[in-house]
Amino acid sequence: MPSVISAPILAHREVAPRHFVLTLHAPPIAASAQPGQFVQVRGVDWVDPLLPRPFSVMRAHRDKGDIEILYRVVGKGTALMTRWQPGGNAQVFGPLGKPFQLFPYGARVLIGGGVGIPPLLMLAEQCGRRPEAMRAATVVLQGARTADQLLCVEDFQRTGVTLELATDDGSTGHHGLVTDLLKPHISRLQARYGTVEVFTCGPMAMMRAVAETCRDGGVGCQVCLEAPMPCGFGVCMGCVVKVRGAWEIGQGSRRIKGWTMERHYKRVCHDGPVFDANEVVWDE
Amino acid sequence: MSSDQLPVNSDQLLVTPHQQRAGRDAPSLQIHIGPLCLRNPVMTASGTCGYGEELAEFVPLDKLGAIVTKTVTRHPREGNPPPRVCETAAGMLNAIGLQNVGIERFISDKLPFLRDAGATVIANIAGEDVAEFAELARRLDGVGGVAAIELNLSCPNVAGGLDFSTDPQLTEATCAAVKAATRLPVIAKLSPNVTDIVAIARAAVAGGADAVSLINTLVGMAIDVKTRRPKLANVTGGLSGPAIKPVALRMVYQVAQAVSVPVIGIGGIMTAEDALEFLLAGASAVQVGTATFTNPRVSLDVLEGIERWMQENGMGSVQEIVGGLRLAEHVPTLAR
Ligand SMILES: Cc1cc2nc3c(=O)[nH]c(=O)nc-3n(C[C@H](O)[C@H](O)[C@H](O)COP(=O)(O)OP(=O)(O)OC[C@H]3O[C@@H](n4cnc5c(N)ncnc54)[C@H](O)[C@@H]3O)c2cc1C
Ligand SMILES: Cc1cc2nc3c(=O)[nH]c(=O)nc-3n(C[C@H](O)[C@H](O)[C@H](O)COP(=O)(O)O)c2cc1C
Ligand code: FES
Repeated sequence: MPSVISAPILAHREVAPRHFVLTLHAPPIAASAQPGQFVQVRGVDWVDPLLPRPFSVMRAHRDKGDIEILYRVVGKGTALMTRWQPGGNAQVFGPLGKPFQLFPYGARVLIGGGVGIPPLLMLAEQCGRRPEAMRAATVVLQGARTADQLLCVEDFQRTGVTLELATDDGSTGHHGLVTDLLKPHISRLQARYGTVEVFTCGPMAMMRAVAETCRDGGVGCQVCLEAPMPCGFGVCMGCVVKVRGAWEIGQGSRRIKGWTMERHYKRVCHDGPVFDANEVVWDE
Repeated sequence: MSSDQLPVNSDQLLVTPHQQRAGRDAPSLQIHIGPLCLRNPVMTASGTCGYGEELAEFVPLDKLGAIVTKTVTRHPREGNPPPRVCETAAGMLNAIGLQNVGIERFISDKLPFLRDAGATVIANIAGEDVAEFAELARRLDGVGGVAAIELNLSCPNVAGGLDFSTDPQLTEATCAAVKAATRLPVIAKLSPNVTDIVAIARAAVAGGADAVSLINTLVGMAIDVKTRRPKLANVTGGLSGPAIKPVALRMVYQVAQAVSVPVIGIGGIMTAEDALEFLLAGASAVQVGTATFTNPRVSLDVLEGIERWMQENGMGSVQEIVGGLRLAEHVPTLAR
């Protein structure tokens, strides 16, 4: 059950150029947030800008009741947020949306870039708590333009899962697109673990390329989408994405899903933000 | 919110002993909108609370005066392509295009939840012509769990959607046809995109509307200078939020002076003080719209703020506030 909270700001620090991590004390949100879910954040007295800004939950410390978000300064709202100081309060509500769905078996590839990284860190930390033998079955692939734009590298390393990096200028890791790294990993993990599920969040073009690779490779793929979100909790119909009609038979691991020719709009905030990549109509 | 920031000070009010007594007890928030009796004057506006399911996660729906459901049409509508929304100074533009489940699924899938939640439901409908408005109203007449019907005469985001509320004759004919088709109270929701809102309000009343609600959104647009494209795929959209409150308040004031039926004030209400302004201007009740996006619980905050203010000012009932605006003598009246 989501809550609306005037949350004390506990910490606020710049972690990369124009990227900040904000720590808020929000116990009910921390208690239930799952990877892929987000919160709506707003200054307590905002009128202009008016609407809350959606940010993925990057960490939820259930014991302390704190959550962390990582944001990039891109406009009016995020510019105002940079002035927030510990001791003040921020309005936050959530957790919102449907989280990534994890199956207990099989290998996982987390692939993303930019501000798609925060939900993947939360997911990676969860994967890092899998039994020792399965930790190697999780791979994180992160891309950025340059090395200084890579996010949370040490945090990913600490989780114990495999991390590979790619930069457009070759300043760190693979010289090129992060999606170049995907196919070899899928083949390798498929041979070793049987099933592979891919989780992606980042720029639309990247997620689309990931979705295509997964479709061709016959592996499952969950995408975490973005859209302008006035409400974030499903009431305004402002954040829609075009999806295919779906059918489903069976249950649990025996479940078989398929798609029809029918198309309609779904709310990214409430029906997502995590969708089956095959459900999304990418060319709209 | 302290009472001295509010538009009327307690020491300036004439408080009768009866009211003082009532003021110490919980004030009565009950209000009458024509034949419709609501537990309090705060509702959520159509299109900003869906069909109640998601809002119920944050707000006990039976605490609100009413919930006005998203406009339903005869057939389901898929709505406009995205982007459908963009933020503007102290407000937002939307061009949702009336995405909705259609009247039949509204009745079978959405109403039962609202009924079970104990919500007072005002069903907002839109037809493509007068006959379709009447047909929708007739369909809702028999089903349980609908307290009143609000006519969306004014959705600016669908082709031809403006015709009804810019034309007094059509407005009157629609209200009359709907009244003939249902026993439920009928509220005509008016568009601000007209030259003379009073003429339209009078036409709605002549057609038999039990109340009028205003305002719907103001047609606007925004352009992305970088790409030189409109920020909405639909090019234009409806402006809502605090940016429109002064316009809404002026229109409510004008209409309340001109018509004999209750007026419901809508437009940019974020706080109890905003709502009180509408009541003082002559509204009997208010609807909270865009503000719900900024905080899903805001309608309850508005309600609690009104209650607190009434207590602080020794007010026994909401009706005492309605139209309580104080004017100097010889102010020009806006109504014609
Ligand atoms: C479910 C969800 C989760 C999100 N998680 C995160 C997160 O964890 N970290 C994070 O930093 N952001 C995240 N975002 C994006 C974030 O919400 C926006 O960047 C933010 O709302 C921008 O607000 P603003 O007021 O600064 O920009 P605005 O003033 O609203 O926009 C300024 C300009 O920036 C553009 N813009 C808007 N969003 C973006 C964007 N994402 N990237 C580049 N340009 C943009 C606008 O088109 C506009 O031109 C998420 C979005 C969604 C929907
Ligand atoms: C996203 C959105 C969708 C809306 N949809 C409807 C609708 O379906 N029917 C309707 O009568 N009004 C609709 N409205 C108008 C509101 O009910 C209200 O009249 C208007 O937004 C002004 O109030 P506000 O400033 O408090 O939002 C919508 C408004 C918004 C912002
Ligand atoms: S943001 Fe309002 S429905 Fe998704």
